[in-house]
Amino acid sequence: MNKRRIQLTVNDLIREAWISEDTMLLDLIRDQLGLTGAKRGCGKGECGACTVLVDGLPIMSCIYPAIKVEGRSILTIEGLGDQKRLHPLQKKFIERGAVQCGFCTPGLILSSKALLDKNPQPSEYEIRLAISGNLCRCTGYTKVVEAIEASADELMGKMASIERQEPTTGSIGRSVIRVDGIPKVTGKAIFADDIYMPNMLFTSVLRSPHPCAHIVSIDYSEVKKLPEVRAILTAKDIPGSNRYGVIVKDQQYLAEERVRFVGDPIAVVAAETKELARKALKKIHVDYKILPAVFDPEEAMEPGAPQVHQNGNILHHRKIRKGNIEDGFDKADIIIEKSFRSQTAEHAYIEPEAAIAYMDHGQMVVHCCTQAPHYTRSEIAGMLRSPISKVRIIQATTGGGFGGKADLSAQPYAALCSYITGQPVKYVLTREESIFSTTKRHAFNLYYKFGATKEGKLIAARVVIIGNTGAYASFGPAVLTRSATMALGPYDCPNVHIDAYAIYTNYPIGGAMRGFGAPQMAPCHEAIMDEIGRKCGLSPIEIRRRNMLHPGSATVTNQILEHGIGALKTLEEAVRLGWPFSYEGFV
Amino acid sequence: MYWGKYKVMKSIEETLECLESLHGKARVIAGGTDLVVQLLEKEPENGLTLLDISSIPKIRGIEVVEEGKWIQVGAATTMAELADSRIINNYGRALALGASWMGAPQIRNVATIGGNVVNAQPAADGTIPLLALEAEAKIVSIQGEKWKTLEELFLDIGQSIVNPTKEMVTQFRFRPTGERGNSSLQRLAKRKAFTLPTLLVAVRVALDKRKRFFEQVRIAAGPVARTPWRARDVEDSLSGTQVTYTAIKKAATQAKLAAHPRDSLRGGAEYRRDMVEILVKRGLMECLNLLGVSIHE
Repeated sequence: MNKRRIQLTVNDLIREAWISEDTMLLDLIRDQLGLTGAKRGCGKGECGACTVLVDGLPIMSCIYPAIKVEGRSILTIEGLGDQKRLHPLQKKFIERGAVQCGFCTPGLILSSKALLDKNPQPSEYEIRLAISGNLCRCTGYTKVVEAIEASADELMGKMASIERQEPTTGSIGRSVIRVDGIPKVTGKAIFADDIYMPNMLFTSVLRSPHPCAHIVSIDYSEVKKLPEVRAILTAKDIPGSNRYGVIVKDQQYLAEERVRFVGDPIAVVAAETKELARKALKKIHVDYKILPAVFDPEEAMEPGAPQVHQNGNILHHRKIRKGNIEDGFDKADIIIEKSFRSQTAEHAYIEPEAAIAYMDHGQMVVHCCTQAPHYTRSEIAGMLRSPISKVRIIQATTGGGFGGKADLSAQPYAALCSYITGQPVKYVLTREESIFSTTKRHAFNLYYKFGATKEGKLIAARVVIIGNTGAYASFGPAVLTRSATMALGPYDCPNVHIDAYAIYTNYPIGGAMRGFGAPQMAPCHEAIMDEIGRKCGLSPIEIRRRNMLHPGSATVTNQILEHGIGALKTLEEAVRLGWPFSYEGFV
Repeated sequence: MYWGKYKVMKSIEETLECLESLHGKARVIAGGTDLVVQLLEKEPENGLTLLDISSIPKIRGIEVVEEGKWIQVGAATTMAELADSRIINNYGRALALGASWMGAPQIRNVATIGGNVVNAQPAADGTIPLLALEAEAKIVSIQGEKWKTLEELFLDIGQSIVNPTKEMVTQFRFRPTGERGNSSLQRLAKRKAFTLPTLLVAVRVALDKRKRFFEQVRIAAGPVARTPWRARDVEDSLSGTQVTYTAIKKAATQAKLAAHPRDSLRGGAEYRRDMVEILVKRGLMECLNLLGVSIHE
């Protein structure tokens, strides 16, 4: 391919680069100049992780054709400051706790730098506007805004409006500077996609476009002819077990006969470039026999519904029985019955799943973003039919997880391709792939019935929770167990009857996500407590005071709580702060 | 390859010659914040040549021309430049607001007003204010140049009369809102950044000398039709009437009845219709407020 030579200034140095007609600036900066502080979060100019300054202005480098920068000046995070001489923005981001996973940090700092260059004393509104093109999922923006305000003050030679005492000795009872802060604000933190190795191959995975289908045949003879493609693998190429799962081993790395959701992997390609790997996928022809699919968990529970797995669609049924439920409702003066639905949610960490795998003296080494290196290790060992001691998982700096990176994603495919080709292999999911193929927060259908005395004491609770666990188990049974135990929130009730189901459907996989099944329950029990309060003429505060767990209470599973129960204390603190707030309070 | 060649153009003439010599295999690109993303998602087009006009000096910048008769904006002027421009803020305020709300800061530094308009989206943040400002666009081809009103530009969702393989828009111009006039833009969206609007309403008002009558009113909205929309009937019935709250309310209701929005991810049709009324009212009130006219409900 014809390459064009361009000259540009990068961080005050004149550099030359060879680029293709369609090279994006982000690829030039990362792949050729080796400056990996600018990140690829979405590849579509939506998240701001790729922000760099071109002639002082922040731009999205992932959708910026590199040819446009010929003769111009680029500033990346690496040019802002270094470990010994941090820019005030970098210093304040660390001091104010504005850095967590660090993936969005370089972009945020560069957007802030451009703002302060133009407007040395911005208002809070102007700061928020300036960083509105940089998405963050961990820290949020409050601390970021504080950090920018503080560095504006420092740059103007003013004393900061909010100054925090630096720790002197020891760390107990003090705020300490986070250990990985400096690498994250200088662009030196190494995320999996930031690792480049000689002879590295790139992976792309062919995924099912159908929610439920039988694979009749896979024809990849055309791909075999492509010299740049080093491996095209399907289920039969897996040397060990093709089954994995953190609780139930029901998932296949590469589908054998059946695909169960849109995104189910079928084949994996390793090629010399990302583009070639993606292009090769288009030359694989899969003949599907499309089968009826089921998406609604309640439909999936009915007899005659399409069976997602052989053992039926009920993956898990968690029962909790306490006291005598009929007795409880008989004695109740007030009965409230409500049903609720909650939706699927995506973790949307700014760093898409990434892994790079290579063989090191007979040992498979995988650097990856993950929340579960040990689990990953055992599964990869099983997949490669290799002793566990021959697999090493190194957690790279991880750009947000929130439960979504507790499961496998990119790792097995990079490892498998590396094992087969003997070359280092990198696999980074595209944002689209990350959204449709990895686990999500379960969508729930919830049926609540609470009974209370006229004094407002909760005495009976029947709850049915139907969780859409999607095509594979993942953490489904554990999530639904937790939902069952959290069904009453912080409230005490002598007679409890809970059924929680994890139901297979042809929906994206439900997995772990922040709160792990508990957050779905809160709007239900809280709304009903309010309603009981209204019926009894009790304020939202009083109805909760009368029902909250206290030392000596038994939980739904009859655990006697002795101490460390924060519910009442939290309530009283909220009351002190003015809860329940009026609507105007939020405007 | 997402495209075959990418050429940075130095002049309008060079661009037109390239378009001509490449016989439909070339198209004009400016900021590319829409086009690049579209091409990334499409099948590769090795035969396509992109002609980048964003650094042609003649089509950049904002100026007052013909002794203050027109405000002229180069098509390759970025949204950030428009948002920050003193001229635009003084004489075409609605456009400055629209430009300041479009996309995100990193997008606004690159995206151009020309691209925003030529894309022909029914609720583009640059188009709707320009429509209310009764802007005209200069379309240039090898055959020559012509000024077209913005309304004439749009055919359907995503389709304008500008053929990107033959023609390019080089300038926009509109009459400055004078001392007795002003403009406003109301934007309803789920978030303040990174989002297309649920509804955009731009209003331009000119009052008589004593500021008691509406001399001229222009109202544009989107997305309430397949193309950016002017509420012509409302404009006609409001122009010449006395400035009263009743007249404003009546006009807003009339606008609501005339608008035909659709259901989409960003908002339901009914909700959008109701909000046309609210935003037209707010827009008119804001203009009057800026002109120092207080109106009581």
